[in-house]
Amino acid sequence: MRVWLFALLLLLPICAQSQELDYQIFRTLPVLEDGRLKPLDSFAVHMRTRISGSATLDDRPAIAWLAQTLFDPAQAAQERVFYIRNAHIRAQFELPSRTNHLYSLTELAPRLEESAKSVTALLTRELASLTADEQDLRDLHTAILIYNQLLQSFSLLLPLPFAAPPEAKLNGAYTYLDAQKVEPKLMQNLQKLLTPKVLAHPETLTPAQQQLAAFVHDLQKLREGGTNNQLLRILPASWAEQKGEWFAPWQLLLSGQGSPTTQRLLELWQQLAQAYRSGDATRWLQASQELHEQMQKLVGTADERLLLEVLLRDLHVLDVTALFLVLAMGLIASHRRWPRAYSASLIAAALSAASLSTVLLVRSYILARPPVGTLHESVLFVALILLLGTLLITVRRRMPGLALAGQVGTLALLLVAPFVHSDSENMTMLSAVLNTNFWLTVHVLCITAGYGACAATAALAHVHLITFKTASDPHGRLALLHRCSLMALLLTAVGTLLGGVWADQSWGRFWGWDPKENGALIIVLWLMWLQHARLAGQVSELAFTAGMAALGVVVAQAWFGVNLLGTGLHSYGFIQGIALGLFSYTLLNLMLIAGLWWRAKRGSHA
Amino acid sequence: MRNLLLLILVLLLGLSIHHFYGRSVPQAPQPQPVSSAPTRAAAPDFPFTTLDGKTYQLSELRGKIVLLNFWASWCAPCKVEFPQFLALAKERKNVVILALSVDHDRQALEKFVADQAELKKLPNVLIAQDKDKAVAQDLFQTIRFPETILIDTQGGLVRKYVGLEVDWSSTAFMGQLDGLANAP
Repeated sequence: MRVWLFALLLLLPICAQSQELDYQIFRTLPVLEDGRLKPLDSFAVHMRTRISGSATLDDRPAIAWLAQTLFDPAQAAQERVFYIRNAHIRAQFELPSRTNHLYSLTELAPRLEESAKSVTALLTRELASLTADEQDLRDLHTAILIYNQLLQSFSLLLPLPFAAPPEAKLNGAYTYLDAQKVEPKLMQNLQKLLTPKVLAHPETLTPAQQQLAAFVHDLQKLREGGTNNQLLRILPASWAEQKGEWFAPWQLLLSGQGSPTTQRLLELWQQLAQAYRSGDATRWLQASQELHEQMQKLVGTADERLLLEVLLRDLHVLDVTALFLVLAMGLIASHRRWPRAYSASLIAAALSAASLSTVLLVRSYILARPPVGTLHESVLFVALILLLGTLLITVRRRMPGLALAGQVGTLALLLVAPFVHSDSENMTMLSAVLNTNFWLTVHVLCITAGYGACAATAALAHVHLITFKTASDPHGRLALLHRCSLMALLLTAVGTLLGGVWADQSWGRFWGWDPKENGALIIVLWLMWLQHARLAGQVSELAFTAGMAALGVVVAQAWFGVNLLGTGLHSYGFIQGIALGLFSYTLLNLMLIAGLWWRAKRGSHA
Repeated sequence: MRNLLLLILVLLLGLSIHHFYGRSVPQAPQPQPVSSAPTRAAAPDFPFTTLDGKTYQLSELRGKIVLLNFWASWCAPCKVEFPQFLALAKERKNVVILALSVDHDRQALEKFVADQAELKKLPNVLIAQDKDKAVAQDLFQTIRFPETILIDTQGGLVRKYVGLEVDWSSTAFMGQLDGLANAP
């Protein structure tokens, strides 16, 4: 399978060409980040998003940007990568106003030290107590810190920009590792020179002696810079005691974890750096291939996951899903003119569902865990259940309205998905509390399938409200709505109970009136109340339908709304920045339901 | 519809029962069969010349446990552990201490060695100079000192010790070496 995946990857005519260097193999090299092995391409996208706010600032692919940052840091420091929209911060750094709001490290450097002092004070304060300006300043410094680490990742094997003293006998371009070999000798020479008399009058040193002192000092500064550089973990541990750990180049050397294996790997990285700097495409490709082969031996089957992750990004499967949906919507809209369009629309919707399932399954395989582990994935899963649910109904009964409602709802969820998680591109590992595959499978899949069933029920209720007086078989539709809501009730109720059992195991109590738990309970109570009211004849069919249509709002509040509260034990789900969207959806949907209810009621009076 | 609901309920019930009751009873740890030594990465071969002018290859030491020590006479921790190596070599004749010095100054190295009176009685301690760090840095990626690599009788890399991690002359460490020597 690995061979096929690799062949497919090499065939794709994508972003990989830049400066005539082929990044296709380079981008699949493994790196450990956020607790999992990922391809360098994903690391590049994640880093660029963290530093620049977006992975697609210009035509250059993120991997090419990363290569420049790692192998040509002097040039990279001139690149405009920091996105600074805040006018106060621009003023603080004396930056000119630009339409794209992008600035380079060189431009920021003159005011950086002064600004860092105020950031140090900010770091001691609670995030919630910071003003928007202070938060932006803190975020900018975090981005600078990350960028600096990347720039210095390979400073131990790139040519050094400062001149070596003659006694070092380092002719031509030399690296820290070359200089390191002679450093003890130079240190001894310097120690002999630095007598108390000379220390009292350093001006008595000759220019050659000053050069020696400066050189030793620069080497020490370089090493200090590398001491905490642990970002680019590309080197696997060789020794049994550190098994499973990965190291950044400086980290490996300074912690004494080097070995003949990692020595060879670092040599290949150095060859890559040299090929990049000289623009030698052939040498670049050779070094990439050899490095890939070496890493393949070390990571084994994980290599397959790395290739799949790159392919998943390249193939834009979510975009394909959305395209099929748009096609399905177009077809359903034209079914009156062209009768076959109804069937064609269902086929397009089925293809969309297959494509979305592929995304979820591949993500699940890559991360080696059940498919719903983050809020982002839960949105995708609910979208899938909504699409499948409405598709199942519309295959059995000809209901163009429901088909369209399901497709619109699915598309809306796909469009919303990137916004509920700022880091949705980056497949993150689970919080420790969630890392129980059994419960993640049983509880989370059950409750999110319940949310999907609720969404399908709400879609059906909307359609029923719209056609309340014109439907050919109103009783049949009402019975269908009743059955859909029962399915939603079953899944949400069982999911909630299973969540309680999991909470009992994890947190030592079944129920704690946590906002998330209350949200799930509210959905169950809402469904039960409507069902019982209907059975007892306490609500009209219209009110029952309107209540089911409002289920979408109830679910949205219980699913996203409670996450905005930022309290409770479900901290892994906390989000920010969606309040306005959620409020707008709630308001508009309630207004729509009220309008449809009023129209249906007026119709019934007429 | 009713059948579908029933199916889902049965499935969920089954999963829950499996989770609560289907877990295997914790077993007492079973004694592991004595197996052959795990496959270890092979130490790269390299030539070295001892201070008395004899040239060897590392591969010539196969059949013996080798402690490849990277050190320097200007390195204080290296000096601390040197007597421990000598004590170990005295106790375990099947262990070779290969001490590669990264000293630039040959005289300083020779002076330090000359001060170790016991050294002459220990043929299993080999001292050589790795002046340009061609072995320490270019082969074993060692840039800080001391570092010691334990190599088994097959020439496989067992473990790396960074700094003063162990007392080489302790009975605990010698026990570990005996275990390694007796491993099939």
